[in-house]
Amino acid sequence: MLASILYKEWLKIRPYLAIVFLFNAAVLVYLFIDLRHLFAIEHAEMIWYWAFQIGTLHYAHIKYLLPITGVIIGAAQFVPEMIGHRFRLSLHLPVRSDALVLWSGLIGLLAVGIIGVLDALSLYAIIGIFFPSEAAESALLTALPWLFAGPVTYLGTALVTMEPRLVRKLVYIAVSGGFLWLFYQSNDYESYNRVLWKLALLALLSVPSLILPAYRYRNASS
Amino acid sequence: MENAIEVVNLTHRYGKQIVYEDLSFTVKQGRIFGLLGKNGVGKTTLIKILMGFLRPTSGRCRVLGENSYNLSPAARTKIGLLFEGHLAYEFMTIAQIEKFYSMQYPGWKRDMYYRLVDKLDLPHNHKIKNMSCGQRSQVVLGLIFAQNPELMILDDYSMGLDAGYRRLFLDYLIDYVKGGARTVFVTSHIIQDLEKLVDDVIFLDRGGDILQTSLSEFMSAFKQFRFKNNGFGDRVHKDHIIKNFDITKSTVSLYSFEPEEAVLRHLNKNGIEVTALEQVPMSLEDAFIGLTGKY
Repeated sequence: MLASILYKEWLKIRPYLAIVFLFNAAVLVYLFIDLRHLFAIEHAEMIWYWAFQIGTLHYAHIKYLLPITGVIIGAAQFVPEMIGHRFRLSLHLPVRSDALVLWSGLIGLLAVGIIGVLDALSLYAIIGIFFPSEAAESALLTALPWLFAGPVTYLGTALVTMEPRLVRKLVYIAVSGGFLWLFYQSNDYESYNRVLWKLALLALLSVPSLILPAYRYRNASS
Repeated sequence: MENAIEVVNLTHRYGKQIVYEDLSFTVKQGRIFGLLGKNGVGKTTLIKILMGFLRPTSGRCRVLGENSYNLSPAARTKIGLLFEGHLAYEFMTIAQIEKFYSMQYPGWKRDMYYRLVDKLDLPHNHKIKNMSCGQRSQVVLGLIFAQNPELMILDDYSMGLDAGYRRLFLDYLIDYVKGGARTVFVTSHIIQDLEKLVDDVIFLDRGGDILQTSLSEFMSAFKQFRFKNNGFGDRVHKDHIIKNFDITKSTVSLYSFEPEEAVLRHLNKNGIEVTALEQVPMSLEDAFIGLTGKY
């Protein structure tokens, strides 16, 4: 059962995964080029001053990278199911509908997560080329809220896409938007260190909420 | 389990509009059932209820012994469902969709799928979204046969099929039913196909009035009579004897379950002076229109 769900979700995600992978890679390459350019035209002590005295973020390029990725992956998975009420095909499969939706969601989250990990490793490596390792670690901690925003937009997209009623869609957009807003409240270094894991846990706890629009879809398919 | 489908006192409403009220019928195992009714009588709504996509306002609906609104995965394994419009995962290819469904159903018959689909003469990497409606319907019907279900529920299977493939599909369907205790519940707009296929029919009318009967009983009991329109045509009306009528300038056609003598007596009693009635042979389509009307 899991193998068949994985296969179906893979077929839907595959073409978009290549696009988001290239998009993420392009932004990271741009970050590298931008930093190299900065070090070419400025004195190192000036960059140090900007980064560690004023608190300028030199890697804000990736701020919205994973949230955009989350929207694309979520749409790639759930829009084809909703066009022409094809979700009824999935709900007729010999699988419990809650398990079906949860596994589909976890597969999407895994895809977003893998890209997020690649983004994090790339950021660490790029910053590590130009700054000491402490700065690379700090960049990672600073960027983590932006990376955790990826699963939030993924779940929001899935909820909004599956929900059959417009009013509820708007409510889900508002709730997801509000949740997303929490991850972008500060531009300071490591300002989320004390709340980050609580926010991540909250995002994780919202995974089962995917069952609700699927249940409502079944009831409202008339 | 004698009945594949049991519907008892089913009532369903969309807001204030009543679709059915106290609808009851049964579909015995091993039979081919045709659900007939004009557009808008609620055929697709009934199939949605049978498949648990819609919770009825009240009443009981059981499919393969289980509450239709809460079918277990095991029961769904035994039910082949064709959605109206031949819904399919259009992002898949011919081969991918077969691979996907084969992982879901233990009794999967891969050969059956490719026997039907290869008649399209398309490469197996052809995407379903690039197919015509008719081609897609062939893929979907191939999938349902490969599933080898105990119960097939086919909502307007003939949509988009050309005459040749329709005939081929009917041949497969008849073979499928002969293969054991298999049940088919089918709706179609091509009524002449059903005449060769179904054992039993349910005529569904607005408000949920139904007539459930075997096809042979219906075709022998329901009759069309014709007489010359001698100016009394406007006195004809529907009642317990005359189920429907059709008046042209020259003739009056009546539809009834009563024998010729009873109809003649009834007409004379109502002041319609007719001395003889001509019984007109009917196809199932004629009888369907006779029973439900043209409009």
